[in-house]
Amino acid sequence: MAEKREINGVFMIPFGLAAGFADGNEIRLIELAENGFSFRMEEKLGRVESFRICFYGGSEVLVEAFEIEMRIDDSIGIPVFVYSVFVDQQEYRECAAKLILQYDRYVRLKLECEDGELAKVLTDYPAELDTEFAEDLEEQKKEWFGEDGFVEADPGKGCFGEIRSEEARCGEALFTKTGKTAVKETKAALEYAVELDRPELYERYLSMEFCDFMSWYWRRNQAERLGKQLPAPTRIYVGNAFCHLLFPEKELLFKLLEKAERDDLAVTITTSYLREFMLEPVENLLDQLTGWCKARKSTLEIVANDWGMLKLLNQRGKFLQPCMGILLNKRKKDPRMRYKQGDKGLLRENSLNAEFYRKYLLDTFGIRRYEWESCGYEQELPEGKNSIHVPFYQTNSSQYCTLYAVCKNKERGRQELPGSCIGYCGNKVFLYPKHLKLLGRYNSLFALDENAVSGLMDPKMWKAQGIDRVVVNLL
Amino acid sequence: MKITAGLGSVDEYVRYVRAGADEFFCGYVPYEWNRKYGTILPLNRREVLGVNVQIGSESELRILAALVRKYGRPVHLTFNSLYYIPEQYPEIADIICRCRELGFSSFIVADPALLVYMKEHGIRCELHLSGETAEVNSRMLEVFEGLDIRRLIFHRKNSFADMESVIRQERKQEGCGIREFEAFVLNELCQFSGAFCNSLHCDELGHLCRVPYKLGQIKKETGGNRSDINCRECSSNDREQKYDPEGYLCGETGCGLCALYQLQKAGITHLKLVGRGNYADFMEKDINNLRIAREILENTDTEAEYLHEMKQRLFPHGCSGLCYYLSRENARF
Repeated sequence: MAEKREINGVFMIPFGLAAGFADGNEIRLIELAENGFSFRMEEKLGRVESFRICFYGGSEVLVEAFEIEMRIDDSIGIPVFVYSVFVDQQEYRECAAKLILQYDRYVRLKLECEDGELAKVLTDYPAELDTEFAEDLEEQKKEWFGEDGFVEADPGKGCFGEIRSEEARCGEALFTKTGKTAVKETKAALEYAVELDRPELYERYLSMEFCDFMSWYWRRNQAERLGKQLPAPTRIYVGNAFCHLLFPEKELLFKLLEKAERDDLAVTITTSYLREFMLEPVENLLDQLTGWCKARKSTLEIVANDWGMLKLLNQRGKFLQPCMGILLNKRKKDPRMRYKQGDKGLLRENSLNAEFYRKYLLDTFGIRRYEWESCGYEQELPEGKNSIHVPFYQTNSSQYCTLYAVCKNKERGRQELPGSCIGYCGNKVFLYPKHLKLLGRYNSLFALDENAVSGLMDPKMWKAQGIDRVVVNLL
Repeated sequence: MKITAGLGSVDEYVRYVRAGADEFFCGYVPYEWNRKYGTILPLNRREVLGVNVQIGSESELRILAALVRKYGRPVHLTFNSLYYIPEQYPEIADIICRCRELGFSSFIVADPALLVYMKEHGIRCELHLSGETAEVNSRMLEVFEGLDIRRLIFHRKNSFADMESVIRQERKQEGCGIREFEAFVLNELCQFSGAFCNSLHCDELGHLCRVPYKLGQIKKETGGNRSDINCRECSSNDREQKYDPEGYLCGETGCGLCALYQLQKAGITHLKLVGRGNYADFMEKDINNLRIAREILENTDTEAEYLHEMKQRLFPHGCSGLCYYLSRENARF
């Protein structure tokens, strides 16, 4: 009687690490060893000519010489056909052994290590720097924007990471081809805007001449040198994309609009997500803004960060022009992106690069302008009007403010919707390890794109990338 | 209210059915997708390769379809990344069509562009709007109604009043609008909102929200003394006794069991129990506890009665305190 053979391998290695094909059929390896593997099927297989086994990291092994045994197993609730495939092939043996070792190591790291330690082992993430914090936000900003921290612009380097120096110089070209999307180069001047996103800035702006306000703004953010090199903004953004509680009260908003009118500044109003209970007051506000525009025979840009807001704007005709806000214009963003493994070139595009989607947004809501953020890597912006927010990018937000949760309930996880907020963000922030250049501000996390700081005053670079407006927000 | 549970493997299906799950959701990511996009552009929000959180391979999906035929508890497949790139839309449409041929008819989607693509290409199926999509309000639903959504999954940070209002407004609509409403009730209460969370959750780098941080001041001399709270180190002393001998505590990472009465009142039709890839024994206990809580709800008349009995049976030594719906008076008992 022949001795019963067994695979004796590791069970249920994730499909993402080891996948297989029985001829053309995609199979899951439910057991993996150096001498073979097992898989199961709902229906009995016919004769299999070959297996293709795909290992994490890209190795693929074609197995054409093998022995196969089948048994029926009904332990999962229905009978399935379980196949054990015995392989005696050096290449397969080596790949299987390597993967089993890698998997074992990964599982041990996951069980025994903190996230930072695991990242250090698997990438070059400097976990040892996770203990170094700035004393406060002022000190942090001094490092980022002050005399010592300020990095001069590199003409070959754009806000989106490395761009070709030829492109950086080609502001006069009619078309700049970046990948699949032809970006039309505009001859119009690049517009600079500053974002007023919280009560402190609303009040300051109202109480000062605009040029004095801007001087104060740069000084307040330890960025005087940056301020000297940038053209004066000709537009203000009013409102907060990420926190509904930081939007100005109605009376204050109209005061801001009137002062901007006197200062000859264009205005874009930024709205956040809309909670259900906010719909009625927001509808009233939009009606009043429409009236304000009608009286002046002018239009106002409204940055929408909520699908319901787009619907409301669409119902109010041409006076309020919708822009696609950051919370709707999704993108992977993380200050640790440099440590991420894989083809990061795939991050250049997002859903707005799909023409069918832009057409839907234009036809359905009239969206012509998209708001983007400089987020540390190269982006391929689509045709249309593109505003870039610099130098910070949002990574995470919560309608249930994390800062409020810590200040009121002593734990960031004990969250609730603030009915009325006393404004903890007026003097408190979350500080993060310095090396991450990350900041917990309001109900969100923001990271700094250093290249955007140094590239801020390089209009040709921005225009070469299809950007017609730079929106500065130093948080 | 039906129990909708996360499923990480076909091996768990029958166990979870017997524990009380009425339906399931799970992910399927073909090898070709992993090969091309890895975890840089994942197909769903479980953005890892090294953990068993997906139903691996088409062969396993066929087994799952056979289980669904036999046991009658449907499975919804997740295609709920926040966005995709242009070349991916036709690829996803192909995958969805293959899944439909295998017998799966309902899909959870978060990216509005994918919904637009499916509508424009006549891909008809049951669509659930993921809790990762965006803020929810009744005007927002008017937008998505046009994209053939059948079920709305509320995100994790909703109030009862807002949910009730959205559902009431939606039910006023005539025709085939959204008729099913799902709310989170157990596990994985994220600190940030899924729709607004753009950071990495991959094998090699942990969640950004778990990176060490400190509460600090904008400027030292303003706002009083600097707080030395290191927010990662908050803990409670009486934690140990809440766990059972196997180390299980219901709702350890997020719990909304107190809220069942209010959720039912608001019009919620499905209760979401997340935890794909969690330890199967614990998931089984979660489903069983949620089923018990639902039975208590069905057999009590008032919210106070429900809370009293539910706490006595499920949390005799106290709960995790990680409340999905903290505004409840009885939070953290």
